[in-house]
Amino acid sequence: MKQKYNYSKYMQSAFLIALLIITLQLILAGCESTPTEVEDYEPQPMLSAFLFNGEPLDSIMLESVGSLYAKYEPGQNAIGGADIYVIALDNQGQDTLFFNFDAGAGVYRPTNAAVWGVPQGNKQYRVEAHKPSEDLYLWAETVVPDTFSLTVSPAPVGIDPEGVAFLDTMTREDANIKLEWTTPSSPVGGYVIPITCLSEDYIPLDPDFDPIEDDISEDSSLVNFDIVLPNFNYRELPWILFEYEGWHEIQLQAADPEYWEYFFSVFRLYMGQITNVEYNVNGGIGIVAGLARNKFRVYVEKVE
Amino acid sequence: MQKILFTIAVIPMLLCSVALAQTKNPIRGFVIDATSGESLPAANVIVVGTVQGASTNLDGYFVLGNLDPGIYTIEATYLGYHTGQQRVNVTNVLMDPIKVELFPSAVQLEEVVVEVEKDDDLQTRQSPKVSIIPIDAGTIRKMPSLGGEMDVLRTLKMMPGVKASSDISSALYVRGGSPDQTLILMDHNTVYNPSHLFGLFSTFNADAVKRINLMKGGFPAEYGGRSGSVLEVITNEGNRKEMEGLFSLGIISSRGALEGPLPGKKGSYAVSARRTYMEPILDYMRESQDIDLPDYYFYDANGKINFDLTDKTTLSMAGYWGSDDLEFSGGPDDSPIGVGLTWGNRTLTTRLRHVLSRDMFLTVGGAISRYRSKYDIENDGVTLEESFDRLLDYSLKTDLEFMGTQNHHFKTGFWYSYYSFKLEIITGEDNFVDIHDYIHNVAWYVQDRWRLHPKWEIQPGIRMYYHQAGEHYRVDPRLSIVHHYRPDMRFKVAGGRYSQFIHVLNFGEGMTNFDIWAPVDETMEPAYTNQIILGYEWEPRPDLEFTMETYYTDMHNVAIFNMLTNEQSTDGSESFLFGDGNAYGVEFMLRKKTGRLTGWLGYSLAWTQRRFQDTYQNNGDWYYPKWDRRHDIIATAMYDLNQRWDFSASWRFNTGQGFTQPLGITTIPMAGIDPNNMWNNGRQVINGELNNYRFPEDHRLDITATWKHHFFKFPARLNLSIYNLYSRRSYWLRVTDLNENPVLIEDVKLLPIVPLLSYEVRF
Repeated sequence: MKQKYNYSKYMQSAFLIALLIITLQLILAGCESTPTEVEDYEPQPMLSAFLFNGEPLDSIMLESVGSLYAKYEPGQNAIGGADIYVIALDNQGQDTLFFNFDAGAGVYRPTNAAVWGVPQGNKQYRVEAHKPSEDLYLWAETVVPDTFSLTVSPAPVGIDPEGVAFLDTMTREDANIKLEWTTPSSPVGGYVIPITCLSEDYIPLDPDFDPIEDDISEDSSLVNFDIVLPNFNYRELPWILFEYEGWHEIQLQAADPEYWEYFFSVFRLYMGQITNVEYNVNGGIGIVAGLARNKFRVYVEKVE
Repeated sequence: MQKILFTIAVIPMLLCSVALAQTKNPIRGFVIDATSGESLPAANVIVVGTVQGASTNLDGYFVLGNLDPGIYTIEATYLGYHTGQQRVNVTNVLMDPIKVELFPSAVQLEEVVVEVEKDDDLQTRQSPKVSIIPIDAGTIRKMPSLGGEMDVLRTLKMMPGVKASSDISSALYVRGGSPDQTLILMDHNTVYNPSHLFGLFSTFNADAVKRINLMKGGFPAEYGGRSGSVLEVITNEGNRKEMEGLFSLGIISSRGALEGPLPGKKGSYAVSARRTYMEPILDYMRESQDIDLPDYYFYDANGKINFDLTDKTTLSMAGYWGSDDLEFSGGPDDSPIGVGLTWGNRTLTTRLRHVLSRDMFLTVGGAISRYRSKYDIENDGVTLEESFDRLLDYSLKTDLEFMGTQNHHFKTGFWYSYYSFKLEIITGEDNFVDIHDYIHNVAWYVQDRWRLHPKWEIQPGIRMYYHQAGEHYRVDPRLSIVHHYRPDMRFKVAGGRYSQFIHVLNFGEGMTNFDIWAPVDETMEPAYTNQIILGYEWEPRPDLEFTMETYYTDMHNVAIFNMLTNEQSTDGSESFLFGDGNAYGVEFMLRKKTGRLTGWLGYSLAWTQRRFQDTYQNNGDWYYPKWDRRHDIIATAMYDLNQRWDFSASWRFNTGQGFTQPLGITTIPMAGIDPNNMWNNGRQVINGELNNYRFPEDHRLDITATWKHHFFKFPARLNLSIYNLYSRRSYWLRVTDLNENPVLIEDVKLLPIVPLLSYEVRF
C-alpha cells in the first residue's frame, strides 16, 4: 500500500540546492595552495657554549643558520660584534667572563680567563649574547656537574705528553674495555661516551677491507657515541664503536639534564624519528651545557 | 555489579516476551548461502505484502514479528546474491528456525526468479546503519591487486574517508583517526596488528574472508574499546555441503585453502594458509649485486571449525597464526652486526551461538589474542639494542538479542578483557623502558533498534566501562536516527562518545611493523572522541546507491611514543606523549551494487589535526599529521564480460602527502668533539614545522584482467594485474643528502608500472 507523504517537493529541491551550495563551499575551502618549496625563511641565531668542570672555557660560538641551497662552511655565518659574557649566578669568587670576537676563527674568545678561572662543579652559570643593532638577545643557564672518578679495565699503562692516561695497544679480538665510575654529587641527566679516532688515515679495522676494491664512505665519521642512563655507573664498550686503526680518545662525560636531552634529540634526529633538536637557548637556538669529564686513550691495531 | 546490570537489561526483554499474544508466532530462521550452507549476516528479510521486515544478525539469524496463523511468503535479499523467496506456514505452534537459501549472483539459476511487486514500504528493509561500508568477498577478489595478493585493507582504502600514509602501507586511517583508533575484529576477536611486510600486505588472507564491514564512525553501543571506527572481518565458516579448495601461485607468495562439511554434515571446517617466498629472489640479488640484504618471509594461517550441535546451537572455533620474520647479518667478519625483527599475531576464538527461545538469540565466547614484536641489534655477540613488546588479551564476550517485537530489536552484552602487557627497551645494558602491566577491563552495553514510526527509526544505546588500572569508569552514550523521507531516500544522524583504553605507539608516523600496543595504566588517562555524523542516502534505482555524509570528531588523550624518553621509565606516562586532535569533512559515494558492471565513484574532502601541548612534537602546536589529505577522488569498476573474462580497474586521485621541509643548515655542536670529525662534518638541517609542506597531488590507475578456464577439469583463474598502469610514481619521502655541499634534496618516489601474474586453481 502506498503511503501519502506530507512533504512538499519544494523541500526536496531546497535541500538539494542547499547541499550543492555547502558542497561547493567546502570544496573551495579545501582548495588551499600548500607550498612545496622553501619560502621566506628568516635564519635563526644560534649560540653554543660548553662549560667543562675544571677546564678553561676557550670559545663560544654565535652564528646564524645557513641557507639550505648555498655551500656551507663552518664559521662563515658567524655573527660578529655581539657582547657575550658568562655570569656565575651565585657570584662566589667569580666575576663575569667577557668575550671578544675572533674574526679569523669565527668564534668568540674570553678576554679575562686568567682572572676568571674555570667553570666549577655544582655552580650555576648564565651565558648571554647581545647585539642590539640586530635585535639579538640570547641566553641560557646551566649547572656544571661535580667531578667524578673513573676506573678503566684494562688499567692505563702511562700518561701521554698532553697529560691523558693511555692503555696498552689493543685489537678487536681483545675483551671489551670496561668502565666503572663514581656518581657525581650534583644532578646528572646521563652519561655520554664519545669515542674519537685521532688518526685521519681511515684504515678500517675490518680485516676484509680491501683498500683497492672497497671505498671508505664519504660520510664516514671518526667519532662514535655510547650512552649510559644516570642511575648506572658501569659500561662495556663494544668494539663496533672503534672503526679505524689508530689512537682513540674515549671521554666519559657527565652531562647536565639539558645537554642530555639535547644529545638525545640529536640522536633521534639522525635516526629520522623527530624533526628538530631540543635546544635550551632563549631568543634563538643552540645549546649551553655544563659537563664534567674523564678521558683516556688507547691505540687500536688492525688484525691482519 | 555485573549481574545486576545484566538483570536490568534482560528483564524488559523477558517481560515483552511474556506479554506477546500466544496465538501469534514469529517466523524465525537463518539466511544461508545455497551453495555452501554458510550463514549470511546483514541480509534483509521481509514478509511480502506486509510491513514486517528485519535484517539478519551477524550469525545470519532473523525473527519476523508475530504473525497470525496463515501462509506467508518471505523474501530475502543480500548483496551479491539472487533474491530468494520461501513460503512459510505459520500455525499456532512455534515453528523451528527455517533456512532461507540464496544463490550467489555468479550462479546462473535455471528458473527465473519471480519478480514480485515491490512494496512501497521499503523502510521495512532498512535499519539505522550510518557510515557502514559492507564489502563481500567477491568484491575483494575482483579488485585490482598487487602481486596477485588480494587484500582486504587495500580494498578498504578505495573507499572515501579511508586513507593511507602511503601507497605501500596498508595501515588504515579512517576519517582522520590513526590506525589504533580502529577496532579490528576477526570472528569477534580483536586483532592488534593487521599488516605484514612493513604494512605492504594485510594479515587477512582474502581466501579466508567471507565479509567485511567497515563502520567509519558513529557505531552502535555493541562495539567499543576504540575511539574511531570498527572493521569487522567475518571469515568463511566452510562449505557445509561439499568439500572444495584452491591453490594459488603468485610471484612472491603462494596460498591455499580447503573447506568442507564435517562427517555426518554436522558442521563445517575451513582452513587457509599462505607464505611468501622471497628468499631465492633476495639470494639472487645478494649474490648478483654483492649487497647485504636481509632474509625475510611472512606466513599466516586461518582455521575455523563449526559444530552444528542442534538446529539451534552451533559451536565454532577459529584461529589465526601469523608471523613476520626478518634477519640481517652483515658488517666486518671480525665484528659482525646482526639485526633480528619478528612480529605477529595469534588469535584463538571459541563461540557458542544458541537460539535461546522464540525471540532470543545468545552468543557466548572466549578468546585469546596475542600480539608480539621483538627486535635486537647485536655486534659480535654484544647486544646493542633490544626491544620486546607483548600484549596478551584474554577476553570473554556475551551478547543477547531479543527480536520478538515488531518495532524493537534489543541487544545487550558484556565484554571482559584481561590484558597482560610487557614492554622492554634495552640499550646496551640499560633498560630504558621496563613496563609490566596486568589490567582488567569490563564493558557492558545495551541498545535498542526502535521503529518509532514508519518513517522514523532510532537506535539509542549506552556502553559502560570499568578499567581497573587507574579505576576509570566511563559511560558512552550512543544514538543514531534514520528518517525515511521517501522509500528511496533517507536522512541519518549518528553520534556519541567513544572511549579507548589502549594505545598504539609507533616510531614515526605511519609505519606499522614496530607498533607497540599499550593498555592505559595507572599513570595514563583513557582516550576518547566525540563524534557527530549527518548523512543522506538515495537509491535512484534498485542497483544504485548515493550517499553523502559529513562528520566532525574531536579527540582527547591521543598518544604517541615519546622519542625523547631518556630516563628509565616503568610506566606509560613517561614513555608516551598525550594530546588532542580533531577531524572533519564530507564524503560522497555513488555505488552500483549489482549487474555485470559494479563499482563506485567516491569523493572525500577532509581535514585532521593533532596537537601535543608542551612537548617537542611540533613545539606543542597544532599540525596536520601525515595522513591528512584534503581531496580524494576514487573510481572503481568491475565488469563481468562473459563466462571467461572479468575485468576490473581502480583509479585514485589525492592531494599530496605532507612532509617536513628543511629550511636551513647549521653545525650541530657536540661537547668536546671537533665537528669536522663527525658525519657530514657535523652539518645538519634545521627543519620547519611538522608536515608544513606537501608533495604534488598523486593519481594512479590499477587494472586486472581475469581469464576463467579449466585446468584438468578444475576451475582455474589466470590474473594479470597491472599496478600503476600509466606509471605515475607517487611521492613518498623528501631526503636531504648532507654528503653533498650544498646539500642535495631529493624526492623518493614509489613504484612505477608493475605487471604481475598469478594463477589459481579451485578443486
